[in-house]
Amino acid sequence: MHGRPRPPVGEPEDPERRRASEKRLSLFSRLCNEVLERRAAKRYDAESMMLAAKLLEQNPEVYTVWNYRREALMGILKGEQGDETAAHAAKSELKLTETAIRKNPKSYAAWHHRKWLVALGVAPLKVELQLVTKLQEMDSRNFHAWAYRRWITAKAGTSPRREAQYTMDLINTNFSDYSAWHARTVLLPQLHAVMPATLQKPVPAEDSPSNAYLSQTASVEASGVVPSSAIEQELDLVEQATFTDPSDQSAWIYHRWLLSQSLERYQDAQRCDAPQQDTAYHELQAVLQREICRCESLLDAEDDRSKCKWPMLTMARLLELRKSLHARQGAERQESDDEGCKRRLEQLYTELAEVDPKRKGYYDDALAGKASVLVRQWT
Amino acid sequence: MTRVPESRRELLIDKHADYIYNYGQTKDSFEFYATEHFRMSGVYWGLTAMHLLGKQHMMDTAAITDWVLSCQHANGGFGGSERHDPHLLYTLSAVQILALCGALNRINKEQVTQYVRSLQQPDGSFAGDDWGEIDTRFSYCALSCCKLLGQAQAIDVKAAASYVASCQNIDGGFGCTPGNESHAGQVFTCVAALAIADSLHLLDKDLTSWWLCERQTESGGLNGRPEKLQDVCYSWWCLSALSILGRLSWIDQEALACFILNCQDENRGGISDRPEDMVDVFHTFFGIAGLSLMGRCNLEAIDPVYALPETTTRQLLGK
Ligand SMILES: [Zn+2]
Repeated sequence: MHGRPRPPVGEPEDPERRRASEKRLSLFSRLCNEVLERRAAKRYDAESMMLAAKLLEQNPEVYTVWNYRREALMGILKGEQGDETAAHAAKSELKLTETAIRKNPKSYAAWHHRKWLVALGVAPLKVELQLVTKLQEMDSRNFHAWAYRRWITAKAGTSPRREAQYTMDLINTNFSDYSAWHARTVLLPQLHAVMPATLQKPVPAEDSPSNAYLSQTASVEASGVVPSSAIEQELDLVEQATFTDPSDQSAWIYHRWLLSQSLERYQDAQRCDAPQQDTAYHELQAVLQREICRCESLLDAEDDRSKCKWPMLTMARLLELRKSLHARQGAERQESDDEGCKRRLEQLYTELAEVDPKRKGYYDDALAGKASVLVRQWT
Repeated sequence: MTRVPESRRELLIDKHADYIYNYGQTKDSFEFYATEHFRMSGVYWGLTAMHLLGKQHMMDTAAITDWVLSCQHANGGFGGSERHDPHLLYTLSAVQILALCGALNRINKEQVTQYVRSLQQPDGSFAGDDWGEIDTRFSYCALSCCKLLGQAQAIDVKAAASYVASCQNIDGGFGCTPGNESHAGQVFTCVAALAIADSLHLLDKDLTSWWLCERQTESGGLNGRPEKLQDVCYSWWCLSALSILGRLSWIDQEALACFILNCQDENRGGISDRPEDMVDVFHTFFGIAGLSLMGRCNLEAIDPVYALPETTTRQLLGK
């Protein structure tokens, strides 16, 4: 039971309310008994189905009664009683599931019944996509609706580009819509993986450094790693979101993924030849440098440290990543640089533990090098 | 963090025990009918909570065992109650209850395992029943069920684990099927499933744990997804997963314990999702289980993987 307030203690019960709830109980228990008895007797007549529907409209989670309906409908929907009967049955079943989903948008059983129905091919996928879009307008975080949407778009072959645009619209309406950010982490790799190899830039015969970069891009994109130009666009989007509300975690969690994508691009390039590796190194360097600057300016703009958790945490991770990137590249570094970085990390994690004491255990482990959610990907 | 009123500082053990006991007795309520289809889980929550409270003697285990057996179907699976169809969710609850009652010898283990096995798909996933809904929750049910029955070899454990791993998202959490958003309840089922399958190396422990510890809100309670409200049931799901991953120290346990205690109904007994909401047996169990996992209030210890008292799993699995 979620979100229902406790009734006050000691107040005498309102006799009218009591009568109403007794009536509700007797109607509902009679309906349950009636439907389950008919089910046990395998009665699939119209009246039984009407009662089953009535029960499901009130309580869409009673999975056994959906099973009952499926048993009754299976043959009819396959046309055993003629096309007209099938079409009529499909239509009323679609209506029933829609009513049930609207009654309880989090009902696993109702969503599953809809999927079962649509899998039989009784509903145009375009209409389904419109319906789920409408339901998502009522609650853009409903993961049942999102799962259904993914299933429909996969079935319909909807382009990831179109779906990515849908998530972009949601994010532009509400930067805090984590479900939409999540959807982008699934869609962007698809978007860049579906491109058939023949459409990619041709691999050049000559091995000049600039051409080599192109060939590397082609192979990386085919594997579904998001290309650097797209990562940059996404980082700009995150900047907008985090600038609007630096304490909302949705965009920051997405940001961590973007960094891991940049890192993955760099790692993929390590399998290529030296010029490509070099390009990838400079690309990653540039991303880190720019993101460090962005965090720095967010931190500069805010005097209240208690509002700086996310830029501080991201800053710490960027510094760790840059440090280990340098170490890996064997870049020439002054010892004082390393000392400076170490001090800065200490300062950041100590401050994080102060402004966000609930996660002190994590910050302590991170500072001690015992917890890393980004750099560990080196291995 | 809100101050917990004096009347809720301690765990009201007797009140909760009475509340749970009565839950099983009131048969003329709307709730009794509205929850009939998942009563098997309701009984499991109540009975496990009673064990953790040390009040299991209040329960009539012989009657409970008979009732559970009356819900078994010819195919080996159990329904949510007598009049309901077999389903993996309730088959696991039934096995858990029988384990608590020391009555696993009353069922034909091979028959139950055969039912579970029949639901495994070629990609390693599990359907909840013959109607084909796929969800990582069912992977957990299948793995836990077979392991508790000592029949893990009956299913393809490796394929089950790799399917679960394929549901890990970029934030470290898990969804119900590949590509679906992470959800704390799902994270528990997936992490515990991987633990049973001895496959925790398939997940990124630090990343998953970090996502989990970010579920703790200002209130001390935990939410199920980013930018959502805290809720007692998530205190169990996040906490058990963190415990399996050895990262309980990444959240503020004191603040969480206070949040759970503050959700008690000091008049009627029971625990609710949030303070001042109506209690139910589901949140009462998860609240008590969370406190037990953090070693608070002198409760019996709970096993984070199987969600049963440690004494029970030690006996069954020799852990
Ligand atoms: Zn809850």
